[in-house]
Amino acid sequence: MRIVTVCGCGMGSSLMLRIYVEELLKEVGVKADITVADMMTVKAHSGDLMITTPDVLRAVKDTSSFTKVVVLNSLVSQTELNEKVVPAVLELSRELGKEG
Amino acid sequence: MQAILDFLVGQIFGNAAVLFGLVSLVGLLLLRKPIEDVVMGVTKTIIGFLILLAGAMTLSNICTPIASWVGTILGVQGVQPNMWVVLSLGMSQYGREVGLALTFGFLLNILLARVLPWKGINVTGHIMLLWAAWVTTALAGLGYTGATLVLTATIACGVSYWFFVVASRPFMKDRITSEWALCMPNITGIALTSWLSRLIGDPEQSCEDIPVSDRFAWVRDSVVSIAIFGSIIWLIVGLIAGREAVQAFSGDQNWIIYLLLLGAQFSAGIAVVLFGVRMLIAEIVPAFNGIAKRLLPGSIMGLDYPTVFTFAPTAVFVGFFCKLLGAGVGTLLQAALGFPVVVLPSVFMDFWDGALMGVFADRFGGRRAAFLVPFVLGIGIQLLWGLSYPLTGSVLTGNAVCMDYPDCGTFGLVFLWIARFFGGGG
Repeated sequence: MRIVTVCGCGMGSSLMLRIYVEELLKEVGVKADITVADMMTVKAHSGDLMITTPDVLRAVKDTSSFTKVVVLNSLVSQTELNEKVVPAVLELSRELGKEG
Repeated sequence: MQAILDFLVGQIFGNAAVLFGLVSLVGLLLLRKPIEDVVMGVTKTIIGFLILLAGAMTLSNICTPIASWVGTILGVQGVQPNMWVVLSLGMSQYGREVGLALTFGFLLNILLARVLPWKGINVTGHIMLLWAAWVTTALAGLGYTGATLVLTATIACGVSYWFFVVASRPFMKDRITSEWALCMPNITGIALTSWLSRLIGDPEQSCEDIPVSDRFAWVRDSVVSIAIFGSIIWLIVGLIAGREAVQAFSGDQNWIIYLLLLGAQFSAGIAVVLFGVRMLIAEIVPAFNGIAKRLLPGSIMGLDYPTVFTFAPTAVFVGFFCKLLGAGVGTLLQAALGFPVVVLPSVFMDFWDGALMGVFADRFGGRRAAFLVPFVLGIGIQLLWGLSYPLTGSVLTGNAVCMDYPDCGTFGLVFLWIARFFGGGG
């Protein structure tokens, strides 16, 4: 599974998100390749899941190169991460499992 | 034996690319990553560093002529505030010292948080790196060399990393969140905004009732906004300088087209630097994060700007535009009053710092504060940068760039005065 975390510059918040998501996936037992991206180049990326915040999404607009998009209101809330990212990841891994 | 030691010091630790590779190697090993991840991570870190240097060369090729034509034609030192240029120049000249100051500064931050009652820890890799680059380059400019340079820069970085987190904490806790703090060289902005906004405004009258169109969202895209605002600024400066003066540097190219393309060229250089930094820190930050968690469980994390943007999304844009406007007024004031140094608007950091001030202003003093305070502070910060700029040494002044963190004009300025007083020590 390919996941891209996106923020304004692709080095601060997106990197923290990558660290949080990596830990989360380890707990859930899903293997994924997680990369960071900034709002300008994210259109050149593609993947199964894009994780970002509402303000960045407003600037990105086009997310068609991703199967799923998760929007987090807080970059720091562990609860929100659990509630939004885990179901998305599990659903994607089921779908990918079917294809594979 | 001596030969081996010389080789280690000169070729291994002395080579900045290898040094950063080593830092990420230790980090990845501590995180117990599988061997293929370790090899890949270390390689990426080294490549990231080399990309950063390539960006530095591009930027320097653009900045040096600009610095000279602005200087000779307008008779003032025209300065561009841009942290990415500062970072790339600092890394290409003092990469080794910056790497050491960053790593040991981080460890000093952990030590301070362990022994002192205020448990703040910085984990924002790019901000730490940028700050280390500015501190090191400025100290080198004041004549510091070798071990004295590394030691002084390490202490300055370690204390600042810790200070940024613990100083932002009370303001964050008061009106935003107690879960985390911020780590950015903008304590000046946070503190002054919070105090002033409380005096002049009413938090009940929030900015968030003002509708802001999605069509402004593009200003967040730094590479695009640097190009567009940059072109406008250079066009104005160029028109003041006049056709003949600019033509001397633009050669066969039409002078207006030359001025309009400067912003885009500059932005292209920044994009390369950003790409390099992204690769460089992607492997180091997770390691820092892991170390911080293990050694200091439950400490307050210092996080990056956007973590507070969601608390007042409209104030983000109000703060940005008002800070940018203030910066423009500051530039005009410096030119009109005949200051020897005229600092142009930063644009890139006017967004991040203006947005941050906007959020704090809105929380402490509502709409009125969000419009007024970033504007007033924008003027002040521009003037203060003008004061600290001449102290930062030939690597930065030769390229006519200064650092665009507000604290460089306040705490940073005091630090440079003290450092100058003690001299180079070498």
